[in-house]
This record gives sequence, C-alpha cells and structure tokens, in this order.
Amino acid sequence: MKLFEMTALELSRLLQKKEVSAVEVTQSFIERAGEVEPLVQAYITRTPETALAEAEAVDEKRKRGEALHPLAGVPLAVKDNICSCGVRTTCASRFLEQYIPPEDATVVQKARAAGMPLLGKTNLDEFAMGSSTESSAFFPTRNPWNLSRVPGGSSGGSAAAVSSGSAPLALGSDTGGSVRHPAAFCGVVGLRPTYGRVSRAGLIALASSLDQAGPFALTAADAALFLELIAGQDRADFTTSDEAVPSYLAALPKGVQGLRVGLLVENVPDHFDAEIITAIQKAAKNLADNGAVVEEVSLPHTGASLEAYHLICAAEASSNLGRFDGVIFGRSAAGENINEMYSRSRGEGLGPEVKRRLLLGTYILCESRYEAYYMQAMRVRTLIRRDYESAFKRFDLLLGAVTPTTAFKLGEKLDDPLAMYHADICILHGPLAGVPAISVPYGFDSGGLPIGVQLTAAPFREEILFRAAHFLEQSRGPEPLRPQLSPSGS
Amino acid sequence: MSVEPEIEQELDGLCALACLHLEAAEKKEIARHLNELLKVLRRIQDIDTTGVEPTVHPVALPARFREDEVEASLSPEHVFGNTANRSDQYFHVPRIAGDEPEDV
Repeated sequence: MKLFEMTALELSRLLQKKEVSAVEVTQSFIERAGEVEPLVQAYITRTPETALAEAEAVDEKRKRGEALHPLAGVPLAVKDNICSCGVRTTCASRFLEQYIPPEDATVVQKARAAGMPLLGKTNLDEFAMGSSTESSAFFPTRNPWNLSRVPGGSSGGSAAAVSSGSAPLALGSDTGGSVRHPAAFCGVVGLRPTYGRVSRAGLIALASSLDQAGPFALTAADAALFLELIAGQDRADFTTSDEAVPSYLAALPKGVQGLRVGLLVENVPDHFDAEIITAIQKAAKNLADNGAVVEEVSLPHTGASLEAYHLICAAEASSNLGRFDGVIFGRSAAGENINEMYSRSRGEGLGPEVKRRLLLGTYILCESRYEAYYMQAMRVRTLIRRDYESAFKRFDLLLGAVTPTTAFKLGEKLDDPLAMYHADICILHGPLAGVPAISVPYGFDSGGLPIGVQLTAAPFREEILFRAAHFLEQSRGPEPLRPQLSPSGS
Repeated sequence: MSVEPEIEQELDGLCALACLHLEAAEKKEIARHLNELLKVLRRIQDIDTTGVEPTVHPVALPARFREDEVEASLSPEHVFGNTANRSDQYFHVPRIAGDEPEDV
C-alpha cells in the first residue's frame, strides 16, 4: 500500500515507529496531488514547499527525541475560508483573491503546533454559500467517484482531497451542512462538532451563530483523533466551551450495545432516493442486531428548517460580510465617494450567490420586516431546538439521511438556487439546534456513487457519534472507500 | 401570510443599503431568484410561535470577559499588507463628507 492510501492513524503509527519520515509521507501526498489535481481540482492553492519544510522540522524533532503529537508528520488540507498565516485565503472569491492573512486561525495554529504539514487550501463555494462547490469564483471541484458529478459543498475541495488521496485529513466548515454534505457525496467521514466545541477564530464568518469548523477523514478513528487536537476552549473565541475534551479515540471500541437510536422519520421520506432509504434501514438493522435499541422518532418542526435556516443565515451573512468594503483588505474599486467605492468593490468582487444572500439578508432586516422574518425565524429555531432536546431525553443518537440524493451532475442545479437549497434539507436543522452530527459512508447507489448516513447526538456527545460511526464502518467493511481515480478519468 | 410587492420595486434601495453595485443585466436575474426564494421563505410566517422566545444562540454559554489589559496587536506591516489604499500610516479613501466646502 502506498503512503497516500493510508489512514491518518496508520501513518501516525509508521511515523512514531520511525518506519517512515514525515518528509516521505508529505512527499507521497504532494505527488498524488500532482497526479489527480488536474482532474479533481480540490485545491485553490497548493503549498508543497511549505509542507516539506514543516515535515522536515518534524523529522528533526523526532531525531532529537522530542515528544510529538500523534499527528506530527501527518499532513493536512485546509478549506480556503480558514485563515493561514502567509498563505493566501480567498474564500473562493475574487474579492479576496490576493488576501494573505497575518495570523493563523486557531484550528490551523493547533494543527501546525502539532506538526501537521499544510498541503494547501481547498476549494469551496464562494464564502461557503452553496452545496456543490460550483459557486467558487475560480473553478468547480469534481467528485473523485465520477468526474461529471459535483463533490457537494460547500467544503467540496476538502472532501475531494481526502477522497482522492491528495490529503489524509482536511478541515472544513459547516454552517448548514457544509462538512456533512460533501462528505456524503465523496464517500468520506465528515463531522460537524457541537457549536462551541471548536474555535471559530480565524474562520471567516458566514453566519456566526451557526458556523463550526470540522474534520474530514477516511475513518471515524482518524476524525476522532483530529477532533481531539482541534477541540477546546479558545480565548480568541468567547463562544467556545470549557467542557473538557475527552479521548474520542478511546471511546471507539465501546460499540453500540445499549445505545438508544432514534430513526429520524423526517430524514427518510418517500421522495428521497430509494437506495439512500435502503442504506439507512440497513444501518438501523445493523445497529439493532448489535445491541442498540432502534425506534422511530419525529422532530416535527424540522419541516420549517429550510426557511428558518436561510433567513437566519442570510441575516447574519449580510451583517458579517459588511466588512468586505475594499478599504482594509480585498478587492478595491475606484469611486467618486466612499459609498461608490464600497458598492463597486463589492459589486465587482462578489459572485451571484453571495449577492443574492446579502440582498436577502438586507431585505428581511428592514425595520418593516424584521419581526415577520428574522424574529419569526429565531422563534422557529427555538421550536426546532426543543424538538431535539425532547428527542435526546429518549435517545442517545438520531439516525437519518445526509442528502436526498447521491452526487448530482455538474451544472444540474446551478441556475436554480431553490433546488440547490433543497439539497441541504436533512442537514440544516442540526446547526439551528447547535448539535453535533457526523456523515459516515455507507455503501453505494447503483451508479457507483457513495451514500452517506447521518448520526446526530446531543451537544458535546461527539464520542457517541464516533462510537456508532466506527461500528457502522466495521459492519460495512472497515476499509476506507477509495475511488478508482486515474489520470484517464473514472 | 402577508402579500408583499415583487422585489424589483425596491431592488435599488436594497442595493444602496447593502452597498452593492449591480449591473443592469444582473438585476433582472437576481430579482427573479429573490422573488422565487421569498415565496418559499414566507411560509415561515404560517407557523404559530405565540409565546415562543427567539433563540439567538444555539448553545447556552455564559458570557466571558478577559482582563482589560493591553495585549500585542498587529504590526503596521501586517495591518497594511493587504490594501492598495495605504497612505503613510493611514488608509486612504475617497471623500466621505458631502460636497459642502469645509468652512461652511
């Protein structure tokens, strides 16, 4: 097996036993990226020189006998809306095409401090607004399982990088499903942590009450180890929790015996792809056959999650993106006066989906509409949160779909924003309630495209997610899913 | 559910509020999409939320404060590193005040 085909844990073991060097591991992923990137286009910016220098530093430290983190020498790809000091961070927008952050995001700083070489910055929907990575201002990323399909979004580049073997681990961000959605489409594990579990400092804000950074990995074990590294309180983000970070990895062998699992009826409706419904039913049966207690559960107000999510997200985005005015950073256009400068800088630098959402947010925050739209959406958010609280009195876990379909074709939904929004229908309500959720690959459809199933837990119960996800991987067959991607296409 | 006018009638005003210049060709497309979206999003007004408090923040976390002490901040090189609008130690922008002469 080649190094780029290994899981992060396998690489970690080899590195710790000094059977391979961090430079060899990093070089393997750089070479793999050289082969597959012309097809997949997961990265906006690749940083092979930086990565090799960081890997070399890890090897030096290991030679000197210094204590190293288990992930030291395991390289990382980072979504390009997460700041990386000295490496441009574009949000896949023309507006920030040349933006070079002066500081690392906390999650990047933690990864670098642990000795994880930075392979590069991955593609996304512009400012993380989208579900296909097609609204990137630069180019669309392609799904490694079928190059005519989208990788999902908005963190499609990170998911495709892990799936195609050009990174063993990646960071994404999930505001309304942007980690879980591409994870499902690309056949990798993707976790949205509890709101407050992982620092948002340096994650360029879309919607501050919804955004969370989260890991992509080949296995639940890899994601567990990585979350242990990036989780925890951060004085640079006062919304992070002081809840202790447990050893998620140590929880994996506990299995699912005795877990109470709610099969989420709203997330397996009849109009979803039948093969996705079948996969979820199979997962439910496997859990039940191995000691879990599975019963149906309803979250009745999640039917309004599309409306509540898009109203709240647009409102927060229209405020957050006010900082992009062309003065201090980003694209700057000429103007006769300052308002013209702001307007033209934003008009030239931002793409159509971003403009739509900014105008939608502005519309609903007008004094005459604030109560009817924004306040009403926040009240519905309360109803959805209560649904979850009620469900978690009876259940440890909720099981359901991640997406209504497997990966759709490039261009299929690009001119129909509403259809694109519906692609997220199963994953919008979790963020409104702040709960953690994971997407686990669980088989394929008849076209050979991966199917993901979603597990959701109560706030700060990520360890239960990892236990169940690990169990599902074992019942599926423990080997990570790998696309037969070759330079001739698939 | 209230009936509201199509968005075309106020698009220019919204663009002014959002500080967002749109070309004429963009306006038609964006207005069409926003009208379609709003038709769906207005359904939220049909939900009975009488007596329900809004949720602003999903997880209850206590407000935390740090000591009010001076800490290191970015150097001028970093602060001005991403702008084309530097003028010595300032950001240079077009005129902010109106057309009136300064001594009026």
